[in-house]
Amino acid sequence: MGGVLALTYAGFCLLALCQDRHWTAATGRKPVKRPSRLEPVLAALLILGGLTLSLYRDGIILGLILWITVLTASALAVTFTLSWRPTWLRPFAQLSKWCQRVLSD
Amino acid sequence: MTPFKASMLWLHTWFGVALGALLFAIFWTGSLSVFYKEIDRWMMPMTRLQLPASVSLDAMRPAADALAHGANAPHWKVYLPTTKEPVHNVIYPSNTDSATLFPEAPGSIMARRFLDPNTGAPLEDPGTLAGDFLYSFHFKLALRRFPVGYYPVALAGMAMLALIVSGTLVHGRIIANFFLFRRQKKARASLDLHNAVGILGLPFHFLITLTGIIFFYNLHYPLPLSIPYGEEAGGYNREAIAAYARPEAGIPAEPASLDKMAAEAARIWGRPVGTVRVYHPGDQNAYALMMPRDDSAVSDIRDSLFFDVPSGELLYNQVAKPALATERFIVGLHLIHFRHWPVRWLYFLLGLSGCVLIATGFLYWLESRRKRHTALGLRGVRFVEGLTVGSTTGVIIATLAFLIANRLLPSTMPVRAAAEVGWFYFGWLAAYAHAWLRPGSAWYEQAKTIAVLAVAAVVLNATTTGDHLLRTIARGDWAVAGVDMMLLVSAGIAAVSAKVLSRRQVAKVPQVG
Amino acid sequence: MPNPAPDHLQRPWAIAVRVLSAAVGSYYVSSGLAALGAVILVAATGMERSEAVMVNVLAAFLTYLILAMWAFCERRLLVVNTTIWLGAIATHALAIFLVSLSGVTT
Repeated sequence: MGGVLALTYAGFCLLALCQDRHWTAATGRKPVKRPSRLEPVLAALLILGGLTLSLYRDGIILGLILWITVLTASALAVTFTLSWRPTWLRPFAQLSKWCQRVLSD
Repeated sequence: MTPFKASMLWLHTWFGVALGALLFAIFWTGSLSVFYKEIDRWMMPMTRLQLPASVSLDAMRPAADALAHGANAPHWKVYLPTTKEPVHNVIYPSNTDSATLFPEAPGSIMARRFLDPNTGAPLEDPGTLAGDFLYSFHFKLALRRFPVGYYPVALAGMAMLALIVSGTLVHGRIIANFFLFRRQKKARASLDLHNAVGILGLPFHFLITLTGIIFFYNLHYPLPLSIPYGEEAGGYNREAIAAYARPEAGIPAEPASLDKMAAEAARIWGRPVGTVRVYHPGDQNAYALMMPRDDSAVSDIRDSLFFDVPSGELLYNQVAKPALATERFIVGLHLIHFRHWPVRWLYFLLGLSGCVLIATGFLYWLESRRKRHTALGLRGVRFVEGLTVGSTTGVIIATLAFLIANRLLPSTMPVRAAAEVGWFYFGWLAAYAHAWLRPGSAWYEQAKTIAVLAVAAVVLNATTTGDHLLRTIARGDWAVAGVDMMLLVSAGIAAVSAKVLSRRQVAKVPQVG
Repeated sequence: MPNPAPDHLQRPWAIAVRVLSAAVGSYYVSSGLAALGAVILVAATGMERSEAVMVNVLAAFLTYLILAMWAFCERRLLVVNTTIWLGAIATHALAIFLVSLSGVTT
């Protein structure tokens, strides 16, 4: 479950950072205006990766149940992180900036 | 705002205020029910035993027969020992036990006794309903004599579904506010948290409520179950559930080996026997209904094998048909009997998040109306504030009163189990009274009370049973250790909340007298 | 004033009537629809009776929910009451009538 939790948590962090308000909270800076299409895709991959791991380890039924409940837990965890310690999301912002740089090359 | 949205908002607000107290209690007892067997071990120290390597049905049968004959019961049922409940759990229809205040009509309630897993001998009467009280409160308000408790719970459940749908429909900015929790902004904090828990937990809240209601479909939809069968009464039960039954012969007969029958059953299913119910014990027409252990699949499987007790011969194999199997799966999603600790803990935490959902709903209602009601001299806020405190911290105090009474009441008391339940309701009523009498400081004082009571419960467990936390961890008794640890964690949370609340109290708007 | 109630939910007796129609009336409509649906399903597809009943009962929980919520949204009280209470009686009556026609055999 730890793996599923970590993957979905990371995915939701990236998604959260797509919104200006959370990006500002995490990095302390206004986001540079750019149409970001990479982050949601990456986030979706992470979240679906969590699903795959869950299905692999626990089978279809239990795997689905585990994944759906973990989704709520990790989304809430991201919400609470943003509320209490928004700077913890900074590494994900870094990752996002790095991906942008790599893509624009 | 469109009329549709206005209607949805009205519905959400008023269903919420009217039923929030009951719904909180249902979510609270439901969350606790995930661990009701662990709570059982805490409240019934004589059952904190080691599970033996093998268990014999034949060893326990005489004691079970004796219990049934003593109560004139037509059948008895045993839940075979498991790691979570390492004793034989025998229930049988009786008309009195330590939870009934007056003798009831025969067969109207179920009495319960535990038997030693090794010898089959009866253990000392625990004199408590233990976790079963909290569990049965969850779905039928713990009303044993008359089955009326199921209906308010189901209605509240339907209202909860309406609350979830209406809440989602009136939520303005689901995507924009997806991860938003502005806890510093007093005006937005409770609404943000309410929305976050509600939206992010939407699949859980909706499904747990829906599956919970579907659970008792036979109680709630008697007409569709009977009309299609025309004149034939009990037609649905006959076709779908198709259980075997036969009357008593009135002639005594020696039973064959139940262990042999259980082995045969296990061979047929490929999984071990979980429960055995013996009808007409000691009679020539005695028959045993065996069901498999239910901790290895999501579905709440009720496939049964019926054996003739005097001869050991297999009489009937009952397997669920597809539609019934679907319903059993739906029920299984709610009960989560299967062994999967992460999912069980997640259900527990998500259940508690349901409690948070209801509490923050109340808080938002209060905050958004406080100024206006105070200015106009209205009593609404004052009443709902007392209702909020009593139904949230109040029911928690009630639970702790129940646990502490369990440790303090003498075991020789005649209606001990009823007395414990009495302490639960007394604690709850006291909390409501306190909340209405001392509105300004109710939250703070009840949070402090919870912290003190929770620690007291842990101390009492140690002093009355000798099983303090270090000892239970050392011998791997995670049930008792777990309950003690959760009590300590709750005390911690309550203490921190009290501290936060004491700081807020200074800034309260003066109440109308 | 935070969120004034919509027009059709202003007066206490109107609210009481809608609560009754939502809680009780909608329940009976869902129950009647399930009974009727089961009878029709068996007659039309030859599905096993208990199966048809179960499918319809599962659906009934949702029809109850939707109807109950509709009882609070629909502005015209007359429409709400006529649909729900007439519907409750009609669906049950039709189901019982159809069953008596076909002569249920075990």
